[in-house]
Amino acid sequence: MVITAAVLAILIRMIRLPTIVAYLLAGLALGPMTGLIEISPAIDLISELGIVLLLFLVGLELNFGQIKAVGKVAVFAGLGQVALSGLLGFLVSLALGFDFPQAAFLAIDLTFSSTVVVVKMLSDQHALETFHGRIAIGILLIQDIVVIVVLTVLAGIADGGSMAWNVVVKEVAEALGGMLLLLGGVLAAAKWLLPRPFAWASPMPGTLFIWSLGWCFLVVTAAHLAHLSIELGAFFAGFSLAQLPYNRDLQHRIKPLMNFFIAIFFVALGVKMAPDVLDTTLMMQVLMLSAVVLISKPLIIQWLVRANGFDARTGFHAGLSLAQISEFSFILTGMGVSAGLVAPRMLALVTLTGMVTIGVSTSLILMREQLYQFANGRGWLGKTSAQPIDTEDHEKRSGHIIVVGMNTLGRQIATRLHERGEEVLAIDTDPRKLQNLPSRTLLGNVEYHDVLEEEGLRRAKLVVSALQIEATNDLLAYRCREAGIRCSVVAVDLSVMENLLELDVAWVMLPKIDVVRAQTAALRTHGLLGEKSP
Amino acid sequence: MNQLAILLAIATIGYGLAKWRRLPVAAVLLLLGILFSAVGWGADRESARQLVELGLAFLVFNTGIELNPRRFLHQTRQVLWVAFGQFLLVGLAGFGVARWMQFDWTPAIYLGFAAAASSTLVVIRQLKNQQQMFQPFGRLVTGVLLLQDAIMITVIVLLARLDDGWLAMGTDFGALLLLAVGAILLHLFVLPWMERTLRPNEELLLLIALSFLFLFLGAAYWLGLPFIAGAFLAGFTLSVFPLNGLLRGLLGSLAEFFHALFFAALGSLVVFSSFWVLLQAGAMSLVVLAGTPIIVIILAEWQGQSARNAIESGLLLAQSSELALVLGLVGVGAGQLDHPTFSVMALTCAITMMVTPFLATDQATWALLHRHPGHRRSGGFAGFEDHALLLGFGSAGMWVVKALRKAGLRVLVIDDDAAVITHCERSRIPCLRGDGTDLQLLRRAGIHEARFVIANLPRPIDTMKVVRHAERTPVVARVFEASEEAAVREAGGIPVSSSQAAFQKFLDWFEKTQVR
Repeated sequence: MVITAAVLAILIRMIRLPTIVAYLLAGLALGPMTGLIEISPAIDLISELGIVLLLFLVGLELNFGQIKAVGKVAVFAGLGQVALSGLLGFLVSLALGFDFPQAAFLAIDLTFSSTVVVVKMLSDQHALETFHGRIAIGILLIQDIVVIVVLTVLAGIADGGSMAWNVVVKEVAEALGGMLLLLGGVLAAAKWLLPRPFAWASPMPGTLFIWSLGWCFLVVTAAHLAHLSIELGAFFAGFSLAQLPYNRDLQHRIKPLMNFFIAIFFVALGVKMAPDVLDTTLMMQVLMLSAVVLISKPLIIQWLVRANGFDARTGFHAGLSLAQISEFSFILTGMGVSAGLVAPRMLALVTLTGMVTIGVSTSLILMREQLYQFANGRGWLGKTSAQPIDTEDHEKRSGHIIVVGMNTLGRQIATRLHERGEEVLAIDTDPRKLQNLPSRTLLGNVEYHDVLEEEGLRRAKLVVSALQIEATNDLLAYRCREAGIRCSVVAVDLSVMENLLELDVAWVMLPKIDVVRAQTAALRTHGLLGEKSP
Repeated sequence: MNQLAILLAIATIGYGLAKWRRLPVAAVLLLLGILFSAVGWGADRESARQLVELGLAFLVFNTGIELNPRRFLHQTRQVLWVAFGQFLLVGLAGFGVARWMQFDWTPAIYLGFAAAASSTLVVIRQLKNQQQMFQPFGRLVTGVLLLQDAIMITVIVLLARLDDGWLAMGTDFGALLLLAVGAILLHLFVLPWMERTLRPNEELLLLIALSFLFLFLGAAYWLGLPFIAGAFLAGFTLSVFPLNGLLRGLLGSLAEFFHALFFAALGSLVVFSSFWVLLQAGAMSLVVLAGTPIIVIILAEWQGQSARNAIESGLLLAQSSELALVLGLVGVGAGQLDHPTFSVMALTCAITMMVTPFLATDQATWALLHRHPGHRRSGGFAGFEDHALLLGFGSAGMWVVKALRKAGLRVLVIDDDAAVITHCERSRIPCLRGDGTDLQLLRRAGIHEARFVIANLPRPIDTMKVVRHAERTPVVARVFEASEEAAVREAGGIPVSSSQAAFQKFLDWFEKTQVR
């Protein structure tokens, strides 16, 4: 499974398509087409883990300030989009000849977007913290709340239970109440319970990492017990930890873990997606519905976001991000088929529409900036009085100096360069070592690729490592060479010099040799060199 | 998902306990897993077994990635002798004790091998925490560990077929060699080409790495070998620089995750059937804790290490390897071991790992050093007066000696590295071989008759000892951290900061090149 995904990912990369498409194709290839893979409980577990970690990562990226900035527009656009997309989907389905119940199902299926796909794409493009990224996530969260209501109603119907309004309202209220309780609980924990233990654990990155996962699964378990989705639990867990100062370091550590598990999720999705019925009518319906989703959703969201005072670019990118249907739609339709509410053929219709919209939308997201320029250049986006506010290109640092390893040498370098007016970023894995530094600081491990990339390695003036760790210095020197940036590192002893010079290190610091002159000077100062007094 | 949540809960508690009491995480997780399982709170056996296998594959894979022979190229002979010697002799001792405890031949062989190798996970962490990874004895120990891992993988492959006879064992050994040759070819030619040509991003690199893992797992399965042989060789394939460095960052969190799950889940598989199991584990632990240091000290000294370095290496290597657990699982799977015997192996592993942080300390080293036969030979006074005493020759020794000789001083060097002593003797620099913190040796070198002492010792704690020993003789001590500087000054020494010196030169370079 992994090998096929990797091979396809390499090939897909050559034609500049997103890796999600590769994973889906791998799933299709390995699934019913060849019969090589069947979805086992272990694969289901790994897939589920992928979603949990993805939403956990999303939560880690957000903090109160960011939520506050986009909360109002997310609620307005989210609810508005659900209503408008639902109505449009219902009307189109009726026009295509579906009866009332099936049209209603299709309307719901087409309304929701895929949290997993959107977040993965935004994360890959380092766009989670942009306004359009946060708005997209906000809308997805609102959709998740609506999903709770829908699932509650549908579960009631599927179980043959009472459809009385009071019962429905009671169950929805219980679900929403549980959600608010859980959110309140994790936020209270973030304020009063977590800070001290996590501060104690923070000098040991491994402990911090495992504790954060432990916390995630504790909240996920609580969500499960409260009959809420585990994705919501994972998101809340991440959000609570986002209020602590270690969130960025945790993001870098969680991401590789998430990447592995989410790859399995998408491959498994591809396996499940393969339909067992295909005919011309079905294909036409798929194309129609896909077109409705791919065109109307971005337009609706863009209009709603701009109505809240955001600029055209933010609205465009937010809308484009959400132009697909959710994998939840497969689950929903499956429930409908099991309850006898819709024909089995509907599952194939929804599955194929999902494949098309996810595949196309991920490619569109990859080209979003070019598409925006194209549309804006032709005046299709209209005029707006709103100022451009998307922070994607904001604060792009350049000409700065990155200093890694805040031992005494590193601190001296960071402090003195800062005093000389240089823009300095000091990095260390131990938060205690970053205290009381005048320059900007970052808690992180430079062995993680993203740490330096996000801090503008390729635009830096110089990278300095005061670390006395041979392996990390070698890696740092290699990365700087690949990025074309000068670097200076400490050599733990002379035996590593050859390697460092091969890596084009501009200046090698040799404390053990540089100290000789100072020792001689100290001896003179103390009158220990020269003739001995009688 | 519930089973995963249970194991993560165990891991969360375990990591906290380990940090609080400064114990090896692996041992704490193992014991917690046993405890939780004993009271019925652990993961169910089937889930635990699946997670153990998955965790094992990643752990062994990660070990293979670190197996870069370049790391110990300059100490190959020492590494070979110590690694093989320890493995053979401690293994024999373990086998003997197991037979004495009435174990049958096959379980006794398993127990012998389980005692033979040391734990890469525990020792590497210990070395990193004490910042001794790149000192000569640290490199020796790392080389020994990696070689022993390779030996253990081979042993596991062979023992799995013990009941099938020599031909089957030979066939499997041949298959392992074939897979190893494939790994070497990929390591030398294909992976460097892939890295240069594809220039993979983070996500793709992770996928490629994991693809190799699954490819080798599949190949091992097809060749009828235990899956860990495939995992180890897959890791070795990727151990070429810069891939191993790039992967360390990517796989670090995966490795940590599976490390936690592996040991927590493994504890759930341990059957604590009787007190007798504990006694047996205690006996095997004694073999490891007492036998390994003695054997390693003798071998390391014979190969040119100083007494102190040899003792430190011996104490550091005195625990059972996590691969012993793998060996046990394979034995249980092959029907050659029963669960109580596996429990003995697991408990031995846990006990010896737990003891490591208490054993591998300066106090223990000094206690043994004082009883070392070579140490008790005090020798006479070397006859130097008004001289400069240089403790630790290191990289800068020649420059120091030249500067002092230029000032008209006689210099006497103390160093524990045999190669340094040979070099000094060739350069006609008076020298004594030994530990620069050894008071008897310092007296012999005339510390109280010297004009001053230059202490260029690798460890701050050693520098402080010298400053105290020196009494009225001025000690110019090389320090790195500001805290060390303050401590030396307070003790009456003259600290000279190497970080300050390096910083000054860096600044000169920075200003001269006016980096833009």
